[in-house]
Amino acid sequence: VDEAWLDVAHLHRRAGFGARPGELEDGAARGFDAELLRLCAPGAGSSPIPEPTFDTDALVAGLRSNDPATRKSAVAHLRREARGLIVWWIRRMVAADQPLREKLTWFWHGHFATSLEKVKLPELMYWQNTTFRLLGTGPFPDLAQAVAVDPAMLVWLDGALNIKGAPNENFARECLELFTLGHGHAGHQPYGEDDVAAAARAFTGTRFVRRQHEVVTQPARHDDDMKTVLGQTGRWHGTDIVRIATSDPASIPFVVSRLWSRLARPAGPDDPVVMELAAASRPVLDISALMPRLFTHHEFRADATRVGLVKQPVEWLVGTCRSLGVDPDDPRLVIPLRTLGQVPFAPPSVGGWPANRAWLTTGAAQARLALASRLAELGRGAVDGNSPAARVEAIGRTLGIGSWTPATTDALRSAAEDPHALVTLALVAPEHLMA
Amino acid sequence: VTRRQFLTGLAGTGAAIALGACTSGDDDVSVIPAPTTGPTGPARGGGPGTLVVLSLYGGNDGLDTVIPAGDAAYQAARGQLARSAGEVLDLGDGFGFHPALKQLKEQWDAERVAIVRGVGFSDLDRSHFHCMDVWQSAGEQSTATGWLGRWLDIGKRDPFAAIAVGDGLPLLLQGGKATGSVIPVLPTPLPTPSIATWFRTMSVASDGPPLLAAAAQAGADMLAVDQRVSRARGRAAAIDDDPVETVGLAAQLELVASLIEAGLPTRVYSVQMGGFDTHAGQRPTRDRLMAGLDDGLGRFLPRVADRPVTVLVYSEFGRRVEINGSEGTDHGRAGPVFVCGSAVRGGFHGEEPSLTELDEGDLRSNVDFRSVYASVLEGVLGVEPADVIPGASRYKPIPDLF
Repeated sequence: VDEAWLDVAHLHRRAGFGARPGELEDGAARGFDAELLRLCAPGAGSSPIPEPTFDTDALVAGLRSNDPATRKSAVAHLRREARGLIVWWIRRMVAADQPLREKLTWFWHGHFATSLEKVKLPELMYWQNTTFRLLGTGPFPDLAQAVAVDPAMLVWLDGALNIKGAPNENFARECLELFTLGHGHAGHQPYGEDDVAAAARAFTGTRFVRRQHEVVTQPARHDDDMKTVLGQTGRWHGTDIVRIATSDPASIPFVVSRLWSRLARPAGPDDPVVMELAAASRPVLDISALMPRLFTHHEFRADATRVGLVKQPVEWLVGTCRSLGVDPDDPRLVIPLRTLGQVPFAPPSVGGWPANRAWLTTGAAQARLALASRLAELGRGAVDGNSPAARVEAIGRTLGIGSWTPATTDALRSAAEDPHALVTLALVAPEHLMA
Repeated sequence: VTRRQFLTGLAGTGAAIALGACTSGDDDVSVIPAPTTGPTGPARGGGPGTLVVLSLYGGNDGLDTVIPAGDAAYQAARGQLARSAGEVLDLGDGFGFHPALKQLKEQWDAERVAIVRGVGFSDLDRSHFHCMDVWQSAGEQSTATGWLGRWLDIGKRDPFAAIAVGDGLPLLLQGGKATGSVIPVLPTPLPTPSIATWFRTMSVASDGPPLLAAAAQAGADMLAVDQRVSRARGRAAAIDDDPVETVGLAAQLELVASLIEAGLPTRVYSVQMGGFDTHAGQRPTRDRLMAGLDDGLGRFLPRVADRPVTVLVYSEFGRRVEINGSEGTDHGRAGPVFVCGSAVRGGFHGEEPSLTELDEGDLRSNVDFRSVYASVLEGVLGVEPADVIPGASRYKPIPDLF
């Protein structure tokens, strides 16, 4: 297996969700840099997967009904819409022609983690998802500003309840801790409790009004007094806080470290590669400029990076479907993500999902094996046309894996007569679990 | 032994700390024991018990769990959220359980519930993630290993030693070398016998890259535990096809009870509940959460009452004493910890923090959470706290908790 093919396979996994049949051979012929440009192309943002539909007015009316039967059917309606939304996004990731845009949409969902569990209305989550897709490849401050007035986020972190005289700190705290600055390390926190309290006051008065389908700021509920946040004093509004936070010196290294951690390998804001990429991103972090720098950095292709990241369950499912040419339009292929510990639109908390070893549990191994067996039923054709002896290598080519470990080779050879078993085992092999 | 005697617990704490200062010379905070291995290596402590750790994610409102309903300062600070003395389930000493904790109150009356009041740590900073990491790692700062993960690192590797029920491995069961096993709440059968056999061939941890080895090891451990767990599950639970709802505490604890009854050699189980981050309109949410807690613990504790099973219930922090502007409460500091089971001495332990002398609006912590861990390590698992907790000599076990 040649170097160029391995590099392109690595790139497809990290800048996307893994290659579709034939893409690796074509990409290796074009070369790494040309393939990177192709994956980074902004594209039209269109998708062959039909957009999900919502009937939120009927849903809300049903949920508020006094009639138990109506409420029960509204709950069923809610579950149907939620399931439809989740399946839609997974299918869209599988079908993506500009996978980097979709990968970044996925990244921002984990960064600004918001869950259906509290937001309830799937349509709001869909709007937020659209915002990530549209703004997630541009300047970070623009994205952060949009998120601060995003309807789902306003519901998720209690924006409607943050009012003058009775501030609610929920969004302000997470905005600083998780979205823009980071919690700090070794006692160096870039902000303090006073900053959180003052920032919360600046965000007062903004809420989402569902009936009007818009986010409104009510002057009577906004605290217009002076506030000091991160050393700057003024009659700040929410937009000022996002501007001040995203232009703080701690912000770019923090956000770059989150991206590097999910696209390359885990690292903090003080990691040398992160600091180098952060320095090149000043004064304004533009994701479209960062991405080529990140993927062409020599550390991206280092051995420590290649074996330094585990696929998240969604990435494993999407990558597997892309490689095998499976369209996961059956909810039964998507619902097992719950047992794997990762359901899109339902992160465990505003902190998002964990990484690496967290996905290598015995429970995940069990759930993955069961789901792999179903996926292999649909994708067993991947090794068609090969003799049993050639199937072990063929499934490696399909999955973008250059070589198997001795233990995996033994297992795959034993199963080579049985295409379903062979594909199942390849899908749960340690090599295929690496991002 | 009367409840009144337990109320004097704090006087004992002072004495124990003073005594500890005289007798313990080892104050090295960096001590994390080197794992001892080998087939005849020490077992992970000779204690008789099984420990079930229940983590409440989001910051449980301690003042709406063990409620000082008779206290005027409480009534004033909590406004519309305050519950009346007639509404709470009287525990004596001016406190009462949340009205939904009916079954837990029966366990309290049977002296199977110890409430350690005012538990926290000194630099609680109100961040969910930082605080939960500190609780689960029991480090001076958050670290990469959990306190029970380091317990797992003692003695030889055993995938049965600790089991987390649910969809993921909490930090508390992440060791430096060993990790706890995770079992799904719902049955997840292996595809076919031959695939299972070949999967065993594949799941051999190599000396290669650590993540690849960890992946293979997880596969091997899964095969090791699956057979006994599957047998112990009994009747398969109905598959719920809702992808968003998480499986409730009662179902998790029911599985734990089945595994204990089946005689698994497991010494530590981890279960969890989320949704405690009640910034807004918290009353109905709290009612639902407390009902869920009561449903889980209230069924589990009687079922294991004749076994040496101890349940530890904690949350990353309590909540602000004063109600916020949205009929909820913001992140706070100290809160109560429950230690439940037949082995504990039921009743109150430690002193309730003052409702008027606050730390930036929060309850001050009187008891470091590592003192509770020290008690549990000694009393349930039978290990020296110093083998697991850095700087353990600073955290004396709670007197008379067991």
